[in-house]
Amino acid sequence: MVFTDVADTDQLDDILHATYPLLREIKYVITVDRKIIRENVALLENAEVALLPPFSGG
Amino acid sequence: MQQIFCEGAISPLFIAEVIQKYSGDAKIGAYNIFIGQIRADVINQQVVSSIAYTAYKEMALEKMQGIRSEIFNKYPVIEMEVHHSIGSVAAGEICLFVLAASAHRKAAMEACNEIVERVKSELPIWGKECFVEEGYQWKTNH
Repeated sequence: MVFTDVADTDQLDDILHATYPLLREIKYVITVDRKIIRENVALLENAEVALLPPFSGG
Repeated sequence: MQQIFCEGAISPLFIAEVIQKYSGDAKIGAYNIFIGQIRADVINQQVVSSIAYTAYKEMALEKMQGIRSEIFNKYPVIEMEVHHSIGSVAAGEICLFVLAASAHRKAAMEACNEIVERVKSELPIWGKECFVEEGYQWKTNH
């Protein structure tokens, strides 16, 4: 998905929660450009954001 | 960036080949290897027949590169290998192979253990446990 005019990850999280309410019930971490973030981060152009559920490799 | 993913199960022959590959390096005095295999777990009377692995590959490879350099800084290891399946792996087949080699056994054992723990907790890989009958559940790591 491509988003425009999203300033930071908190704003993106709000948009996603409004669009997909069931996300509130799911545990995930947010990554920006393949790094896990723990607090709000400004999003630059072409930032790659992902929501990752708990890992279960191995 | 070093590849860690292989499509489907890891064959025992491949593991033998990796050990063979290092046999010429006489600085190595110890290997510790971990082999993870799919269990036919029973969950609510349903039997797991396979696990289908998916991954956020680019991030996993970047993260693995970081882990690799941290391991080499922390332990006197000479070589390390990590191979993880992607796609479907049946019960009884191998899905993870980790090897650490060092001059003496302690470094290999400690490094191998730390690599396995970190592969399971830090790499963005997900396992979908598929049942014999039908349906699935997402695996959780403890």
